Amino acid sequence: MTFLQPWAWIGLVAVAGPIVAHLLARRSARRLPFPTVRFLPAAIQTPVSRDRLTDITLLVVRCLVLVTAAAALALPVWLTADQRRTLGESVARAIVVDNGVANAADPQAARLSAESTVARVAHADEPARLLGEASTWLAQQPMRREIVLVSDFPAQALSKADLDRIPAGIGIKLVPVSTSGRSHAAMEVRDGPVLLTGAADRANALAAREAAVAQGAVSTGRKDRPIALVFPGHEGRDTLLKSAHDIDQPWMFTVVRAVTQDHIVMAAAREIGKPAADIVAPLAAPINGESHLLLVMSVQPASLVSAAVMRTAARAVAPEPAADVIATHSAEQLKAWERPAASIAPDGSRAPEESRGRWLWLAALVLMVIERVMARRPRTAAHTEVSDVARVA
Amino acid sequence: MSDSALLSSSAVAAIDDLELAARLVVEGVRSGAHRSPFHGFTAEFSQHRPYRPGDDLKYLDWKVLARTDRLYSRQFSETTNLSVMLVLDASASMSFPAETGAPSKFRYSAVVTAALAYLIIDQGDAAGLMTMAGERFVYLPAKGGRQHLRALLAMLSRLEPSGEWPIDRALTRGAELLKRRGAVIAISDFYDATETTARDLRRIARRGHDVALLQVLSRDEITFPYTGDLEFEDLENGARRHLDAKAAAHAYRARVASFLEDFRKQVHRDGHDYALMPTDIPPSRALRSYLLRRAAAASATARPGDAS
Repeated sequence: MTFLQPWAWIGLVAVAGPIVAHLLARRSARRLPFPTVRFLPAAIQTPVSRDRLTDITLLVVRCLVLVTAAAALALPVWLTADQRRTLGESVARAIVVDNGVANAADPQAARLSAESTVARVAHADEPARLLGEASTWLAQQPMRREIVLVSDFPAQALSKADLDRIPAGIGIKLVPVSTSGRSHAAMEVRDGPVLLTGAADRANALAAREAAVAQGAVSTGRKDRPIALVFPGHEGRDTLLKSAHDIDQPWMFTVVRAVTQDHIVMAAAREIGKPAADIVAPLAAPINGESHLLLVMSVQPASLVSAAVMRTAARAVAPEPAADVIATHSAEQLKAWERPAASIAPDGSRAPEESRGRWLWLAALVLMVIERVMARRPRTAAHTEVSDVARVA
Repeated sequence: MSDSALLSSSAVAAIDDLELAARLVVEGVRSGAHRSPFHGFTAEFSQHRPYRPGDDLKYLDWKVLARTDRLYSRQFSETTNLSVMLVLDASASMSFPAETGAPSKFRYSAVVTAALAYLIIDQGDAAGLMTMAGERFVYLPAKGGRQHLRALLAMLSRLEPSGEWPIDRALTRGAELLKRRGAVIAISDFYDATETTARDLRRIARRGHDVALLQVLSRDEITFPYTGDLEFEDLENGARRHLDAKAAAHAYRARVASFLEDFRKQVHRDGHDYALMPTDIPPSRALRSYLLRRAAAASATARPGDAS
């Protein structure tokens, strides 16, 4: 038996009412003028102690009235074995998809939806905001219920508190998807350093830049601070160097200092046995009419130090390089937050009209009638002596 | 006569006019009775007096008129062959029950007394009334006639139950006040009856009086239908008894049944008339039942004498 409104059992506290009333009621004897007391026995006196319950049957009936009413308010539902099995196998899912990873999440959502008896898929920029709505919808589904979140779970987008607000009995499933598809503008290197290489090294240079991007630290470059990396194989290298001059812009010094003092660059330089200053020579020269900082590289693009220089140079001109780091919840954390759906919906899973409460109300009504009859019983004492008196008369 | 045709005890008791109530009861009694239990009356010539306009012509003495050519009316002194003293218990115990809609024992007894007086006087016999409650003594000598009946009923109407009832003194006094052989009918609950009472009753009977005891009780006194904690207060002496009524009921009923049985046996042993009249039985039925039984007993005792 399941109760749709189990809180109604709190009403059982009311059972204490009649018991206390029975105990505390002062039984002040009613005075009855009588023709003579000579026939009344003197010994049969009523104990006046308060803890003696008179008329236990009436008390029991009154308590039963309250218990039955509380049970009726709790809206009990009796399920047959078949119903229980059917409900146990069925599952309703509210699937919330993070818009940020919609491309990767939608196939997952579609698969989970297909596996559900009933499902509803919703998209949101902030999935946590949809949890309440999803819980409300699930509360009306007469089967096992589960909320599914499909996201890359950025740390700031979901917390334990958000999940704690989901009512007990509703399962939680967290499906992480890869963040590689996330279209964070900061992750794109649209305006990174210009790579000036020979035709043969072009692919290597791009690979080095991808490697820098993969470190998650390359940001959008600034158009007013253009940087060009000049590798040894570049065909116009000499011409360019001839037109170059020493750096003269403050930001150029900042970039050069950052590059030469970057610990990754320095470590990479040590790997090849050269100081960073020998690997990168800073100059300034116009390219397409715009003054660029030339980082004249003495190493090939397909090297670790090249990638490190690219990364550091890009970071040095990035407006907010730190903001590009995206922290996510770990898989272990997500597993810990998950919970299974209850086997049978504990509350609200059935419409009230399906409850057997009305029969309990009927029972309560019958008990009330019995109670009324019993309460009016006092003067119906047996007239057993009437026949004797009639005989006497 | 069917019971449905009789006025219930509550209805009769609710009639304020005691004469009307008595007449209704008597009509109920008569319609069921076959023979009066009391004898008829005779009128004895007393004297002549000059005729006055308005005198009934049937009392005109035609013989005197023929002899003397003067108009004289005959006057009679009404004589009766029975004087009945109705002794009514007006003690406080008779006011029970005071709370319910049922008539009190006193009201019921008053109606029965009035009906008896009506019946007796209507047959030309004499009826008197005597009651004693504590030191209060009310007495009306046994006489016949409508005026006397009205006086008796008026006196009955004024009575209120109070105090105790010295039954032996009341009966003895009632018998003493009867100037000649007659009947003493006592209407009471007889809770105060003792051995002394029985002795007094026997003495009254030896003096030639016919003694009848009508015991009026409320049904609740007999069946004791009470439950719960009750404090019973004696209406006469104020004694109180706090009881679990349900637990005490069995013992009470047994004691009352024993008392009634003993009293009935004692009364029959002494040769008195006796009738128990619970107040829930219509007065007409109770009275008719009693009178029929009395008439039957009288004819049964007369028959051997007739034969001799």
